[in-house]
This record gives sequence, structure tokens and C-alpha cells, in this order.
Amino acid sequence: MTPLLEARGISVRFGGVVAVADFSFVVEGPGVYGIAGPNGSGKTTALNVITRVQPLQTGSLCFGGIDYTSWPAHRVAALGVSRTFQNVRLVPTLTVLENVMVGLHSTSAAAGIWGSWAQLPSARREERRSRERAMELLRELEILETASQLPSQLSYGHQRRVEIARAIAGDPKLLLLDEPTAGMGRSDAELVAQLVRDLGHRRSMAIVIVEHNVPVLASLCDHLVIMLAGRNLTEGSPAAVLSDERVIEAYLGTSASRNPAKT
Amino acid sequence: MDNVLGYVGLGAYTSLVIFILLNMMLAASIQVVMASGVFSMASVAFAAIGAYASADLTKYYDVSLGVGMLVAVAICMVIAPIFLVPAQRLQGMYLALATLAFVLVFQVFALNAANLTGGALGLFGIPILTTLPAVFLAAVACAYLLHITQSSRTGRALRTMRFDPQLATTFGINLLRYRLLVLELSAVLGAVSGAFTAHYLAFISPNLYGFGAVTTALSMAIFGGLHFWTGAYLGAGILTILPQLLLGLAGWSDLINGALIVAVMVFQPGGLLVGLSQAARFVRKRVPALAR
Repeated sequence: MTPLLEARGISVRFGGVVAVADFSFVVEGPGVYGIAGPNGSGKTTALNVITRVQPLQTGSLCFGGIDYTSWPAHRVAALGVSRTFQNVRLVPTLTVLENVMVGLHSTSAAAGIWGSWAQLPSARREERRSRERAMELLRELEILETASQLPSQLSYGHQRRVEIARAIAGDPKLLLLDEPTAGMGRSDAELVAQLVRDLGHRRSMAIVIVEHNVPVLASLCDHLVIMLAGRNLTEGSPAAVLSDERVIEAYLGTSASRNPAKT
Repeated sequence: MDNVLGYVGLGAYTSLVIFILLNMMLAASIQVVMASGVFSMASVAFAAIGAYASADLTKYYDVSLGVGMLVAVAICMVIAPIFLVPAQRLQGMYLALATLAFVLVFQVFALNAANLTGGALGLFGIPILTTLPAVFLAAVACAYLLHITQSSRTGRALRTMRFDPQLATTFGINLLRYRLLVLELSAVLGAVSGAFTAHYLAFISPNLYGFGAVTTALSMAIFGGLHFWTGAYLGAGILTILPQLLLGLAGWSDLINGALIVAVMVFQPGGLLVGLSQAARFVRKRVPALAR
């Protein structure tokens, strides 16, 4: 079976700095995948490459067997790829509901600009469907009462929930979550964790979570990839990865003091 | 002439109302691009091109206002995609400067292409064809077009682009396509406003379309608020009426006009419209009867 996402040999340089070097990442199908690594190990850059927002120097990207390595970024959403961001990125002049509806942009394209200009019934129907779908998601994330507010009126945790609602609105096949629980209070973080588990089970969706907090990630994902200095360090089931000597070394420093015999 | 303009019953105010409507369309021409993050000042060049094109056609080729206007709009719509080149590469102030340069280059062109524009002396004897009902209808039609553009799925895409182009791209919004859309809208609005202006003043010259015109149109759009087309219309209305009210104050009028714009910018950077909607929300909260 063709894997859902196949990123092979990805390299990204910013001037002289190598952010990602020969990184490979494969998502076989539905399930929860984790990418962990210390700060600056290239996790977010890897996500940016997968969504084509970040140009890559070498490597190839395939989604469900379709090579999209040279596609413009705006076409990637239509493949069924969606994401959240490390820091909240909501549009300040759109209401919470409208922000979620932005997530439906590529799945509500049937009527298009001309359709909405001509006020075609199909455009109105689509608009109503988008609205209902967005409301449903806000209800699911327990923030329905904020629908007509502006993002700035919401708490940080609620803003992140809006971001997640926007990301899953279009029913993506691949959902990329960039540090979904960063800076969250416990109740918000638990809600997000629960949501990720639900999404992984209920829908046929592959979820990729990027975190530097390995224990949190290990409790959520089925498959864990560790990045170090832009490269694959190791991967496998969380239990296997966490007992790997090299992972411990990456997080706790060199093992020289613990194992002086090492040459 | 008085008969033509007087029959709507506005008498002495007809001229003022026409200028308000013309400025509304010009300010909207700037708002529609600015509200999607494309800092284009090209509107003034579109107005100039529209004015000269329609003036020349009606004066020398005896075509009707409708034909002159259509050709003016068509020329501007053909020129508009040129601005995609800087718009795809430059952001904010840099794009504003590049498009401002285009306005000034066109001004120089108008000064020198005397057989088309009358050169520095200007173009005289343009047929006076602009009537209040025609301008009113055009302004309403533009408002409708802007409304359905800015309050729909397209409108959400445009606002997302303004604040975060990369985010817009991630959710499948094709920046190139929407930038072309707003530039074309800006061209249509600018050309219509410019052509009506030429056929109202009967005389146009290059100094109408320089840096001064850019600041006037820009301050109207920003004064009212860039978020929505209503801001541009509101700003154009107020900033066209205000100098007339202050006319008796001679030298003070510019000072008061400028001070008011600065005051709004300092205390309400989002524009007057944002202030008004906040006030409305405040009143609705305090007066339960209005909340329904």
C-alpha cells in the first residue's frame, strides 16, 4: 500500500545554517505520529517543508503516491493536509466563527469567486454549510459561546482551540500539530490530548504531533521519530525509542560522565 | 447646465454630493487593495488613465459617456496585472513606494504626451456628461460589488491574506489569484471615478494626479477604516464635506483638517468605523432595549 506521506532526504539551509539535513519521514496511514527533538532540531522547519511553505534544497515529497515536491503551497491544502502553528495565528479582524471558516476555504471551492459574486444559490448553500460545520466544531471543542467574538477577547487556551477547530474543519487526511499544548493550562492541555486520541480513533486521519516534551508525546502517539540537528536520530514505538541510549544522550547531554569507558 | 443638475432638488449641494460620490469610489479603490495586504497607491494612476482615456474619446471621437467609460475601465484592467510583479515580491511600505513611483511616472507621461493629454496646460473642453443620478448609480453598484466581495468566503480569504499571507497559503488561498482580483477591482473603481471626474470638471491636468491626490485618497480610506468598504465611503464622505465646512476659516481649514486626521489616527488607529462599531456595541450593552 502506498504510504499517505512520504518525505525523503529533505534538506533545508538558511544561509550557512543547516536546519534540516537528509531528513526522512513516512506516515503509513491513519494513526498518531510524533516528531520530538530538542529545541532547534528542525521540527517546525520539517512541518513547513511538508506544507510546502518552506522551500527545500533537496529531497522529495509524496502524498498518497502523488509527487508534490514542486507544488505551490496553496495547492497542498486541497490534498488534505492541514496544520496548527506553534504560536497562535488567528486573523484578528475575523470572528472566531469566521476564523474557523477559513479552514474550509479549500473544501468549499465549488462556487468560487464568480459564484459568490453572482449570489448563486449554490454559493449561498455552501456558505451556510460552512457556517454549520464551523459551529459544530466550536461545539465539539466547547467554545460555541465565543463564536461571534474576536480572537483577542479569548483566553490563550481558547485561542488554541479555535486554531485546532480551523485545522480539522476541512476533514484533512493529514493533520500536523505544532506543539499543540505549548503554554496551555492543564484543563486545556487535557482537552487537546483527549481530542487527539478521539480524532485518531474515530476518523481515518493521520495526526503528526511535534513536541519537545517527550513524555507528553509518548503518551499520545503510536509511532515516534526523534530529530537531532535536523536529522533522524531514531524512530519506532515510544517505549523502544525512549529507552534508546542516543535519545537519552540527546536530551541529557553526553554520556561521557556516566560511561567514561566510551571512546 | 443648472437644469441638468438642479432637477434632483439638491440645488447648490449637487456639486458637493457629486464630489463625495466620486471620492467614495476613489477611496474604495485604495481600500480594496489595502484591506488584502496589497499596499498599492496605483488607484490615482487608474483614475488619471480613466480620466484621460474617456476625455479623449468623447472629445475627439464623439463617443458616448458609456463607451468612454467602458474603454477607460478596460484600459485600466489591462494595466492592473502589471502590479502583480511588485505585489508578489514586495510588502508593505516597499510596495507602496513602488506603486507611488508608477503614479508619478504616469504624471510625467501626462506632462509630456501633449497630443493625448494637453501636456502641462491640461485638457480643456471635455464634454460635461456626468450627472448626479449616474454617479449615484455607479457608487451604489460599486458598493454592492465591494459588499459581496468583502463579506463572503472571498472576503475571509482577503482578510487572512492581509494579516498573514503564509497562513492564507496554508489553508489553500491562492495569493496570486486574489491579488489579481483586488488589483482589478481597484482598477475598475479608480477608472470609473476618474472618468466621471473628467466629465464633471470639463478640465483635467497632470497636477490633479500627483502625490497630493495619493495622500487625499489614502487619508480618506485610512480615516474611515480599511477593514471594510464602508470605511472608505465614510472617510470620503467626511473628508470631502469637512473642508467645505471649514471654508470660512481661510488658512485654518487645512490645519484643522490635518489635526482631525491625526487625532483619529492616534486615538482610533483602525479608523473611524472601528470606533463607531465599538461605540454601538457599548451602547447596546448599556441599553438592554436595543439589544433585543
